[in-house]
Amino acid sequence: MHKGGIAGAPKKFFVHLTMAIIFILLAAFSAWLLWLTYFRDASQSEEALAKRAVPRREMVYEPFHGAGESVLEGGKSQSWCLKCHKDYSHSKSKEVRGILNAHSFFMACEVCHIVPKEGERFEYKWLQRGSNLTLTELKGKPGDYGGTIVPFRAEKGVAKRLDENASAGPLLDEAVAANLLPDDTGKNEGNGDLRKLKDRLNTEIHKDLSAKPVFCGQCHKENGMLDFTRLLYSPERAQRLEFGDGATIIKQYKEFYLPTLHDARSHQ
Amino acid sequence: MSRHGKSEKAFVRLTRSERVQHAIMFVSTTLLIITGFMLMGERSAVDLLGAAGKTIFYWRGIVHRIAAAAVTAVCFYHLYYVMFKADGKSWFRDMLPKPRDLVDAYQNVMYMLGLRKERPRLDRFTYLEKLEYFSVYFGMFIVISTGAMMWTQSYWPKFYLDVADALHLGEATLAALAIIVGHIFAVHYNPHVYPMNRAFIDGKISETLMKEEHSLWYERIIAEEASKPANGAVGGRGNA
Repeated sequence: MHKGGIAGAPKKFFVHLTMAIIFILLAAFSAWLLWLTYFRDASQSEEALAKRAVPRREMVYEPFHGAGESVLEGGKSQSWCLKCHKDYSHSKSKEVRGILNAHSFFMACEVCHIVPKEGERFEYKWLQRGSNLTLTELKGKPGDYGGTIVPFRAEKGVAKRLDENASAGPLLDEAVAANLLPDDTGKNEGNGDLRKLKDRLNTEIHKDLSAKPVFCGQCHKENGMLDFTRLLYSPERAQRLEFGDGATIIKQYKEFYLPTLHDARSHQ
Repeated sequence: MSRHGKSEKAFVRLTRSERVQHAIMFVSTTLLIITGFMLMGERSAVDLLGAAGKTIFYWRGIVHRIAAAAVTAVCFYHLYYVMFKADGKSWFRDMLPKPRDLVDAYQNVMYMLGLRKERPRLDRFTYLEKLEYFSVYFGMFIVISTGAMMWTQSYWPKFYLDVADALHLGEATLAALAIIVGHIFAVHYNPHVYPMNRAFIDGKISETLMKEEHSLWYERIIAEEASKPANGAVGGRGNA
């Protein structure tokens, strides 16, 4: 018994020490849980919380078209179409207008609204916003490279910008001077001259436009209407634009819809 | 270092099946708590790990799902156990709440407050053990159902997933605290058994502890033993 008592003392100490360490660890973990639940997020902004969060579910929630980033800053493409149609020019279809307006932020309207004729191929270039100089490389984030994609058509050996309409320009200036634009809500309907001006303007401005615009799947596919590599995109980005999430969705879903609260696809 | 000697008479507290169920539950719940609450950590801490952080978090999700599958399986097995196995039926029958539990609870509180001289005489499962046992049913229903929703998130609306996420985290926090405070401290740090209640390993409970904590059950078993023929073995879950 005596011998056992001496040998048992260190063992007893070791057991008590182990139990004490476990106790401290468990108590600390419990305190951390309570702090997490009641105190940690109490005074933090949503932004700070998001910044601090560890990675989770990122495969699902990664947006493929940069939604909510560039579009909100709209109005920089300087397309003169926007003088009438405004920054968020696509409004008819609630289902797709967000995606379309996101594109009109960095693409001239004519990219989609003037369709090349059979056998014809336009040249597309990035023009720097403001200066209209041709960009030679893309800097910035997707959808906001500081430029606008503009279509060019070769006419008599000269590349002609399709987002410019020289004959409509003076008419447009005249309309602006007459306060016809941009918010003609019918108040000038009774003024015959303005009515005629508006009709001429409508005809002149829209004469080159195609009845059916270019649709998503005509560009976002292999060898589509736009050569993304020639448009200065990196090979990886070009491939993503042709085969990535967005392109895949376009191929899979021909019909778009707005999700509801109880719709299982509301977060896809 | 239990003060109950090894040569003392022992009783079966947990059958082998119950110990295996408990072991799976213990391991998988520990993994679930660790891998689950890793998500509540700080991004800066993960960034410090560099590329290893991504790998760890990749495996975190996989381990969490494997442990979740294991705990789900053991829960369903336990339902089968209490419905179809003799030991399971006996377990569940004794676990069902009874009016006496309220009396036990009142008397125990009075005893702990020093307003009563003796502890109440408790049966096989005390009112606290019953509370803990059935709270596991409730908790498991919440975490398994919401976890399954998050596992199959592409089939659910985001609103539902947000609710499931909140419920999953809330119940996980509650369960983790209940396990640590209500189970580990109450069962293993209990002065009667400190440093460890070995029932989860060998399934046995000493006669002394039986008398102290489950005196009604003890008396019932002893009475059953006495009523059996002299050469007969003690049946059921009695003497080990």
